Amino acid sequence: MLADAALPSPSPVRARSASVELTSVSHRFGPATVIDDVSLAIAPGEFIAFLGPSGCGKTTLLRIVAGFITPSSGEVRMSGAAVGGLGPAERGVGIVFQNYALFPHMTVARNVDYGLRARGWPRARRDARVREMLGFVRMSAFADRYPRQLSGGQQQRVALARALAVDPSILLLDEPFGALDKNLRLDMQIELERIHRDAGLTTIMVTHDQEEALALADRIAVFDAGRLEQFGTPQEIYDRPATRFVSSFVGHTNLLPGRLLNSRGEARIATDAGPVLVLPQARPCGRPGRVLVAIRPENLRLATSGEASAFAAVVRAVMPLGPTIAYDLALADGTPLKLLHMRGAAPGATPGAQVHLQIADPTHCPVYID
Amino acid sequence: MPGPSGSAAVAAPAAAAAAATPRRRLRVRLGRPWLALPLLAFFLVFVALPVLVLVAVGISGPDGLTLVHVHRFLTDGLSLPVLGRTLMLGLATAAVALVLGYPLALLFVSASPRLQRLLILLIVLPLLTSAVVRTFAWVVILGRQGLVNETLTGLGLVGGPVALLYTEPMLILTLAQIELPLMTLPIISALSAIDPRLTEASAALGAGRWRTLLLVVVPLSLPGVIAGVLLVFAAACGALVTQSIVGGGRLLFMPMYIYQQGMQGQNWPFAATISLMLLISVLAVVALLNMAGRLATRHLHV
Repeated sequence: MLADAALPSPSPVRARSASVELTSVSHRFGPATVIDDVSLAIAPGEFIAFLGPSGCGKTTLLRIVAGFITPSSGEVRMSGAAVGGLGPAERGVGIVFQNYALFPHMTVARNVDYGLRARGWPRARRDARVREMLGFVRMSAFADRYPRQLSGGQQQRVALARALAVDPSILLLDEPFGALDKNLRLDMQIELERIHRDAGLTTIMVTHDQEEALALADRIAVFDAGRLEQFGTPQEIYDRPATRFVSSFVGHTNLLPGRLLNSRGEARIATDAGPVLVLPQARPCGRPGRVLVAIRPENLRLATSGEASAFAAVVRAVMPLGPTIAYDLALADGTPLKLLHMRGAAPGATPGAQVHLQIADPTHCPVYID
Repeated sequence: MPGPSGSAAVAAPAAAAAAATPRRRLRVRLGRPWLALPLLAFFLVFVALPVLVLVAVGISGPDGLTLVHVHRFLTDGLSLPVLGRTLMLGLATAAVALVLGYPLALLFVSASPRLQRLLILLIVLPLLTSAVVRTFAWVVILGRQGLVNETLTGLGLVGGPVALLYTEPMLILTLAQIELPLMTLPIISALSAIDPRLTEASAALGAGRWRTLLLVVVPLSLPGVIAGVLLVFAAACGALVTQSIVGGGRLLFMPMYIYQQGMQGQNWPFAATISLMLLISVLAVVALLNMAGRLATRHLHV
């Protein structure tokens, strides 16, 4: 495996990557709106994650892109051409399903061969392609096995080989790592990253796992209740979450209720818990009134009482989480706060201790309308 | 399932149920074996004991044990052809029921829930009416002044009534209709167990509907097909009433043959021997079909 990985294997994926544009796509199942006016554009070769909690519509949207579902309204274009009414094969999408959906009565080789046979490739060309694809996903030794004889990770590689064998111009992955245990998951994520890098194929992955999305995707589309909440790079999503939902769904966050006092200059926010926070500016909501300030646990640090803008809290619990330490704190009125810092980066505090807190980087504290 | 061949038909569903076992077989822990005791008692008293009695009666003669009845069965030139025709009837009925039942099962699994409720009623309805009623309904349809003949003559397509009743093809068709639920229900169960993502994967890989049906759906529904074939085969072999009424006096099958030898000829030892022969033959065919099915679906079993 390691020796294998060191050798740059030429990618067998030859298709041109397609761009994808969704324009005002909405979908209703009966009275329920599951996709609510979603528009987004994906460039050729991008790795996109559709991220959201279960039931947010991300899988439905993937199935709309795949061509399994015709949306109630809106348009899907691929490489500029409208693809409404076309099936998945005509759209040139390759799909890896959540449970991989390998044909259980066919060997690994026959599974990979399936799409080639359906396309009527001649025998010799098919055989060569199957060998090439199995080599690409490092499953050559398993060509004659049946899916049930494979581990989850092996099944996933076969599903990838099967989807890529027919030269799709878009690869769709539905919760690709959901069924894998944690260690294998990381291996397969690295593998998928390699495949995407080598193949340069436009890839859309549906996931509810924010770490997965942050680790793999070039850009992340965050969904909630059928609406596109934010579409941006992992850094934008994490550091400048556009909505309250994004800030609490991606990563951990402390939401402090309070009042924004001024509309110009430095933003002063009187929190209900007491401390007045001063931020360079209030974004995305800058209108004075009721607001919520989002502070990431790692953006809080333990300070000394003399420092400006420090505020007091009581330590309720300390949890060492390996490389980091988490503090469960309470403000004067009991409002809970979480704080995270690197082990050894600051003097520790013990439960019951009075501490002072400071916001490490006030530019990364979004303010939302309450 | 009527009288004399009842024991043959009782054994078959058990074998068929084994074939219908879904891919992921539940390994039932033998935690409370006593729960099966009532069934075991029932089985001993009403299945095992009668079979033993049949064996005892079949091999007993005036001077103790004898194989004279078995010898007669194998050599009298009448019994073996009757047995062969009965097994062929069962297989033909199963084949026709499969041709009729598979599309029906496909229709059912692809229908909307509302249509499914209506369809399941239509599919199960034959099971809710007596085999005798269904048989006489077919007599009304197939008779000389029956529905089909009246229509054909009325349209001037034929000069006079066509012989439909008392012919083997119509008997096969009738039996296939009567036993159709036994074919359709296991196939529906097998089709419903197929992951819809497999057919989606097939479509996404460029396969059309027919290719998906032949390469994915049909192979994965084989366990249900085998169960249905076994059930219909066993039921058709033992369908005394339908065989006698739609088949008529000139078409003799094993159940009627047993009845004649026992009730009319009072030759109980020979009737017992014929019964055993039918039982053994049906079980042998069931075992063969089951084995073939297991070979065909061996990759589906974990």
